Amino acid sequence: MELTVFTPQQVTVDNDGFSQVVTMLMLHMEGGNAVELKVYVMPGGSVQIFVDGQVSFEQAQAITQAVMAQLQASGIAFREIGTVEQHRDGVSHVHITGGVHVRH
Amino acid sequence: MPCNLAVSITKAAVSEAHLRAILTPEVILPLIEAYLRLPGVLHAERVTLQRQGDAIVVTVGRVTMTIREGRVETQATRGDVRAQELTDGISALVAGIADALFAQQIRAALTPFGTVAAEQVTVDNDGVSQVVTMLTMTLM
Repeated sequence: MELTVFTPQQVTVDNDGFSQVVTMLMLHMEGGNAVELKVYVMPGGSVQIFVDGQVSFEQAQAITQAVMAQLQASGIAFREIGTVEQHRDGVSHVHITGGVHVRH
Repeated sequence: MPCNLAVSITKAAVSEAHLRAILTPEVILPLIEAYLRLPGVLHAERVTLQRQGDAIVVTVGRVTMTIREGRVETQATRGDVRAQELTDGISALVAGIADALFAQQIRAALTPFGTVAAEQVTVDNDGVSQVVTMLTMTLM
């Protein structure tokens, strides 16, 4: 499975009825399965980005970096960006209350 | 999210200045007006609401609050319980507006990737229960 990140392009989109020029960043996974991206927007301006699916950590890392680049290109100025961490024991992150969560 | 399935996790944060910049008078004025119209917020007090440059000045009875870049400054008699109550209410409202607008901004920025679903969920964040916006999308 190969992940290709295309060069960002400026395109005009319709965003809830508003015409906007945005940076489009396309990700393509050759022969890949669906990848789920979850972004938790927390109070006070912080976010946690989860990549899930049948992908390797390196692919998840590339997807996360592409997402961060897209957010920054749209004018969101992050004061800090943590490293992309492989999900394992000891990585602190949000858990949905009452959601499915197997101990790890 | 069933986090036992997640492959990677990344954290990032914007500056307070970024959030404050979202809170323009044009955006927050109608929301403050709507808040003051909610049942129970006012106690039959006289209210004036006006824009002064980059600030909004709200006067409720003898309490005057100036809201500028997300900060609320209150002029009232020291120890005035009503002033504290109003300040707390407006401050919480303004913080909530900033969070909602930031989530909207993130969602809009992700639309080039595809359809983004949004929902409010309660999470356990290092032992603190928080209501957050969860944006989900599937990259095929």
